[in-house]
Amino acid sequence: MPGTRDKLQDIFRDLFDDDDIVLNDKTSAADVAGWDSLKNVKLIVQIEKAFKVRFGTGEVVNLKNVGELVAVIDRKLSASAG
Amino acid sequence: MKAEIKLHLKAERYREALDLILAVRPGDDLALIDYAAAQLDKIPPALLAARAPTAKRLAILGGATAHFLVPLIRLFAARRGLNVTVYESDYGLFEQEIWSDSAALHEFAPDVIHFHVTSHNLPFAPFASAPAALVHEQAQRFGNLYRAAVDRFRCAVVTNNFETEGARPYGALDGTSPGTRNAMIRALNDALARALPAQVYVNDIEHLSAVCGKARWADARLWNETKTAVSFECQPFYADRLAAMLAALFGKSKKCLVLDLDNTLWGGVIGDDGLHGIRLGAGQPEGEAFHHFQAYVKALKERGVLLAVASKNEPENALAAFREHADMILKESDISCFVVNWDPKDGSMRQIAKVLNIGLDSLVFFDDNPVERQLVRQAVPEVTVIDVPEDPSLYVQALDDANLFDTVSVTEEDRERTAALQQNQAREVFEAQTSNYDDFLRQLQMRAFVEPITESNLARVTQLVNKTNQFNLTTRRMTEAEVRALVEDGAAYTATTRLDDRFGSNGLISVVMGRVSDGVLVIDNWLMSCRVLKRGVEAMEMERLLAFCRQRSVDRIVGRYLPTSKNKLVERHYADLGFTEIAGDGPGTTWHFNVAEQSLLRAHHIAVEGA
Repeated sequence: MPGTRDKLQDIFRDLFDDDDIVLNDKTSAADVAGWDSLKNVKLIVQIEKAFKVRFGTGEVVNLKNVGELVAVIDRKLSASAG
Repeated sequence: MKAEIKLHLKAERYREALDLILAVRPGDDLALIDYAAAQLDKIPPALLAARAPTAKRLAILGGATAHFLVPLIRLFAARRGLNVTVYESDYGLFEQEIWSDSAALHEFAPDVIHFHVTSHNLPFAPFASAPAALVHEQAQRFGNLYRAAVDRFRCAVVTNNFETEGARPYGALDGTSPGTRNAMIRALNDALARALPAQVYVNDIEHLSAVCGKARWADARLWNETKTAVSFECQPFYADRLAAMLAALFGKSKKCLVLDLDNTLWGGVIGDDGLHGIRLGAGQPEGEAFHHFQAYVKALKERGVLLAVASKNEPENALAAFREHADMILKESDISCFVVNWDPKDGSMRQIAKVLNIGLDSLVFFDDNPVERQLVRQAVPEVTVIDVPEDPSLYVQALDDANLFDTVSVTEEDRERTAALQQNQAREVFEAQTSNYDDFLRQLQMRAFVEPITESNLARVTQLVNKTNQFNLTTRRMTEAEVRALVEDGAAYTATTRLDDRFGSNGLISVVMGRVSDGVLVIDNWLMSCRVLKRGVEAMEMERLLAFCRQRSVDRIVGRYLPTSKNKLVERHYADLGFTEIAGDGPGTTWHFNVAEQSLLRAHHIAVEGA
């Protein structure tokens, strides 16, 4: 969905307190300072709030990069829209 | 607020950033709390140390993951003057750290060990046929652990009790059968409380989780993913309660509650509404609310919190309520210090601290008026100011949620503190002094809307004329028809003032009425609502009077003060505005002002709009 990655980027910048973060599909935890498994939990909560979606337990643990995260968010958004 | 903190930090205005960070409260938006907590590390250490001067070392030993709590604990401890350095054990190692005499923990040398334990750490099955033995076993396990922590690490221990759980596999039996898991949890809490080792203090999360709501308290997904036992939503409250206990341990608890009177201890304004006109006590909803608030305050007093009064009132009116009103729960003897006058309340705070011989940082100020709160915040930042909600039904909760009077124990001495103080000094009513009051008034950004009496404000004007007792020069009551007659009288002078400030509108608060005859403006009525006293409104009104006189070629103004039992406040009103007293007939005093003379007018900080 258009705009998902931009909105996600805003969440990242806010959460990691770094206005220079630029996300692309290949961006992974290794590319963002502080993106560890615990911060990931906070990230998910922010995403849920911003996009009004809900992730299941463990759903995001195996996502490899931002591209996959965007795909999951979009799938949830179109499911709730349909 | 987040954006403001960010801007300050970017510009390296650390003091301003820290002020905002430390203004964040546990009930605020979670994103703001997280942000503020994270920014604490960016504040230069010397600056933080100045605001949170007591440095303490806190080891958190986790029965659950405490990771997300750590920044919140640091934030809310800093608000209470504690600069906390944290040691965090790995999840689940709370017992190993103690029994293995952890070298890392010894090296850290904690002042306090906090056991972040929860009922997840209890091995109780959903049901046991012999629960007493199991409870005893766990009481031994934790009691011994806490004692060992104190002995081996030579520090205090703040642990949690255990929270009963929302899920009830045994349904309604959960409340009555001693064998259920929740019944065992309750029994364990009781057993531990009865045999608490010295230097061990309990953070009552069974109570806190109930207050927050069991359904909100735990987030099952968060537990399953990270072994975090308290939901993000409730973590700020957990952190703040723990911070309050740490503050109590290190002598940072507040000692004195300073109370306003009108619309704080009772509904209404006693000087205007009279002893029997105030709303207090059973039978009326608002009166009930103030009754419950007084009962709560009384309980605080009985556990050793000192009470003081800072009120803008005539002293005899204020004392009459304490002495004569049957529904007052608080009595004169409950109050250790009365400061009742018409001066700005920052001076009252200093007086109270001086008289009670405690620091300004030991005072908590509770006042329904946001302007008074802002003045105190600004002029005496050491004083803790409660954000008092508008509805008196919410007063108890607002004060209770603040967790300001925690003590690690209550002694007989605490209970008798008020009486002891009263033996040492007679209560007095003090004259306060101002400090930077001009600055405060300027920052209030007051705007006055002045217009004559018209059909549209007639009702409010009539109400004010007939209700106002204190700031009322002649106490001349009038019917609506009499007021309306003035509107149509070409020789009349009428001015009404609505006053707005940065906290909102105070509504129509003042009326001046007069009549011109033979080149003299005679003022018949000059009155003002007490909520805007000492704002300079009368100085502004005087300017308007003079402008009117010059325009109409009126040379003299004559005013009258007719004393009543309630209007002593304005005895010097005309003198303060530059009038001179002249001989007059009848009761009271008569005052004269020569318009042609260039007399010095009182300055004010009110921008005037309107006709």
